Amino acid sequence: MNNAEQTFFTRLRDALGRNSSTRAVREPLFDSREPGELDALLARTNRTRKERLDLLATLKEFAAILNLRIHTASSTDGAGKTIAEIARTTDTEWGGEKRITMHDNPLLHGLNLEGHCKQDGIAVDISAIDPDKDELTEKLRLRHQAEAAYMGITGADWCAADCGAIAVMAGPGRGRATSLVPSVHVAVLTLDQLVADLPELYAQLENRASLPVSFNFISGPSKTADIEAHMVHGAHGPREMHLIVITE
Amino acid sequence: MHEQSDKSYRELANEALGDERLHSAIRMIQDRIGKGTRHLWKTEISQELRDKAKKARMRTLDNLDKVLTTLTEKIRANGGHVYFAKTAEDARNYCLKVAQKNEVKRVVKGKSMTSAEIGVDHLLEAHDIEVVETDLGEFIIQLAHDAPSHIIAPCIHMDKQQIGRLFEKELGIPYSEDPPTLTKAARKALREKLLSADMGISGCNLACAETGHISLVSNEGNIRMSTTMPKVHVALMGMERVIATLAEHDMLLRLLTRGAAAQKISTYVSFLGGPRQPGEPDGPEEFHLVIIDNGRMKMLADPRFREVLSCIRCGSCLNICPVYGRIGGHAYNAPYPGPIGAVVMPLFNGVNKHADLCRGESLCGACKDICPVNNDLPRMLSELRHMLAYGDEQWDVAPVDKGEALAFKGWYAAMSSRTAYNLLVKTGRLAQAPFVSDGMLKKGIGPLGKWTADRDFPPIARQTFGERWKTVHAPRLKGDSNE
Ligand code: SF4
Repeated sequence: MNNAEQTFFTRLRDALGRNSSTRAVREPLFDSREPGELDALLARTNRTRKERLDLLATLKEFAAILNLRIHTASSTDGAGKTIAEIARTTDTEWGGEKRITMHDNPLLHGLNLEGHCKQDGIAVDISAIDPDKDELTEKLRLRHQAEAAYMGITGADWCAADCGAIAVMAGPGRGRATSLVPSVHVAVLTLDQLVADLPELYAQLENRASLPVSFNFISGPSKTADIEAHMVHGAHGPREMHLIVITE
Repeated sequence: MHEQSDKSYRELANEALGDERLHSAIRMIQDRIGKGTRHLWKTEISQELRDKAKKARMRTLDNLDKVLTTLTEKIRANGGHVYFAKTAEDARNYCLKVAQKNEVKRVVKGKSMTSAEIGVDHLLEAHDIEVVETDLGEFIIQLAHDAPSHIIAPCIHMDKQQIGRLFEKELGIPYSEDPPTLTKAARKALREKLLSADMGISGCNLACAETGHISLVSNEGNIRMSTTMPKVHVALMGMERVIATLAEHDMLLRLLTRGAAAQKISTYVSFLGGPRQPGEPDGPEEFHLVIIDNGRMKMLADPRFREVLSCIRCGSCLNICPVYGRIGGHAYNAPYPGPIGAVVMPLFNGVNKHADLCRGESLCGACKDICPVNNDLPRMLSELRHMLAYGDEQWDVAPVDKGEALAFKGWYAAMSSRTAYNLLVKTGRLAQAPFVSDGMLKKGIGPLGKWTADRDFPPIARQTFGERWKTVHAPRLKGDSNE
C-alpha cells in the first residue's frame, strides 16, 4: 500500500467515524442472502423437460422485442445445419470472403459446421491460442481472425428466459471478440441451460467455484436510440444475433 | 468537449424555455422512459425490493473501507492495478501517466460521467493523444463541440437534420436524415477508431467486491469494444460505485436498467476484473481501476448527505423531473444535470457556486418517488437551501442574502401579530395601486421584481377574506339566525 492509498483509507475511516488508528478489519463480507435463499434458487432450476419447453416459449416471446432470433434444433448436427443456412443467406458487412470465427467448445465442435459450410466455400476458424507458439503473436493472429470474420459463434453458459440474456464466460478458447467484432453473433446452447430469470442466473454464477476475470451478459444485437430516440440495430457490436437452442 | 457555458443558469434556462424542439425531445424521453419506469415500479418491481436495495447500498457505504479493500485485493490478485485518487487532478494525471507509459496515441472512451467530472479529455489532448467518444450520442456531441444534455441520451437536444448536416460536414457522407443511415456511417467511422486505439477509458456502473469485478452496461457495444480491443483499459470509478455481493448486483442491475431505460436488461452487461489471463485469446494486457474521491469523502462523512452516494446514476430522476423537462440538461451547465445534479454539483464544487441549482428545482418529490434507491433528493435540496440561507461552516457556505433573511424575519413578526398584519395589508394595498394592471401585479419593484420578471403576482385583494367576512357574511349569518 503506498502513501496516497494509506491516506485515502485513513480519510475513509475518519469519514465513517471509525477510530483511525485501527486498521480495516478483515472479516468476511456481508451475506446478503436470506438463509436458504440460494439453495431455493438453485432448486428452482431442477425442471422437467415440459417446464423447460415452457421457458423456451417465454424466451421466444421476449426475444421478439429484442430483435434476438431464436431457432430450435432437435440435434447438435441439426443446429450446425441451421447455422450453415444462416451463414449462406447472410452477406458480409465489410466486404471480403466469408469467414466464421468460433469458440473452442466441445458443444460447438459437435455442430460439424465446417462440413456443413464446405459446399458454400465458407471457412470456419477456431479462436484458440496454439500453446506451442508465442501468446502475444497468437493474440494478434486471432485478433485479425475476429476482424476478418463476418460471423462469430459462441456457446452460452446460461440463458435467462424472461429477459433473453445469455451469460458467456471468457477464457482460453473463448475469446471476447467472437461475440463482439463480427457482424453476426450466433450463440448455441442446450435446453437444460435455460433458467427462468436473472435471479436464477445469478444463483448459478454464485454457485460456481470461481468466476473468470471477464464475462458478459448478452441479450440481442447491439442497438442505439441516440438519434431522436429512433431504435437502430447494429451500433458497434453485431447487427444481428441468433440463439440456437438444442432440444434433444 | 463537454464545453461548459459562461452563461448563467437564468440565461440558459430562459433560452431553453423558448426552445420548442428541446421540449418535444425531452417530452418524448419523459413519456417513454420516465412513465415506463414508473409503470414498472408499479407492476413488476415491488417497493420492498427497492427498500432492500437502498438498505444494501447504505450498508455498503457504512462499510466502504472493508468493501473497497476486498475489491482492491481481488483485482490485484488477478493482475489488475488499483489507484486511489484524492482529487480530479490526481485521477486525470494517473490516466495520462498510464497512457504515456504505454505510448498511447489514441484513446477510445465508453460513455462515462466520471470522466467528464475529472476532465480527463483536455489533459490527454494537450499531450497529443487523440480522444474519441464512442457512444453514438457522445460522438455526435464531440463532433459538434457541444455538451451532453442527458445522462443516458446525451444528444437528445439535437434533431436528425442537425445530425445529418454534421455528418455531412465532419464524416464526408452525403446528407441524410435517416437514423439507420446515420448510425451506419458512425458505426463505420468508429469501428476504425475502436480497432486501432491503444487505450480504452470507461466508467464503472457497479463494482462487485465479493467477486472482484467492475461491471458496465451498454446497448451499443462500444463499451465492450473499448474495454476489450485496446491493449490498455483504464476504468474510472467514483468510490461509492461498489456493492458488496453478487446477490446485491442482481438486485441493483435490475433496478438500474429499468430506471435508465425502462429495459429489463441492457444488451450488454460486462464484468471485468483484471487484464487478459494466460491462454485467453483477447482482452487488455493492462487493467487499471481508478477509485476517485474528489469530494465524495465529505458527502460520506456528513449524515445529511451520505444518502446521495447510494445513487446508481440511472438518470430516471431526469426522466420525471418537471423542471428538467422545461429547461433541459444544458441549463444545469454541469457534468451531472437534473435533480441528482442539483444535489451533487453543489456538494462537489461549492454550494454558493451552484446556488441556482439548489433553488431551481421545484421540490415536487417526483424524483424521490421514481428513484430506484429512494434517494430523498428533495430533502437534500432543502438542506442545501437551508445552508444558503443561514450559512454552513462544514461546507464553507456563506449566507446568500442577509437582506432576504432579515425580510423573512420581519415577515414572520408581521404574520404573528393581527394588528401588524392588518396594517401591512392596508399600506400594501395603497402602495401597489400604481403597479396593478389587468388585475395582476405585472411589474414589481425590489425583490418582487425578480418574481414578476417571469410571472405575474396576484395583488392584495380589494377586500381580504377577513374584511369580507365582517361586512358581507357575518351580517348575513346574523340575519339567518334572526329568521
Ligand atoms: S438519484 Fe436516484 S433516480 Fe436519480 S440518478 Fe441517482 S439513482 Fe437514479
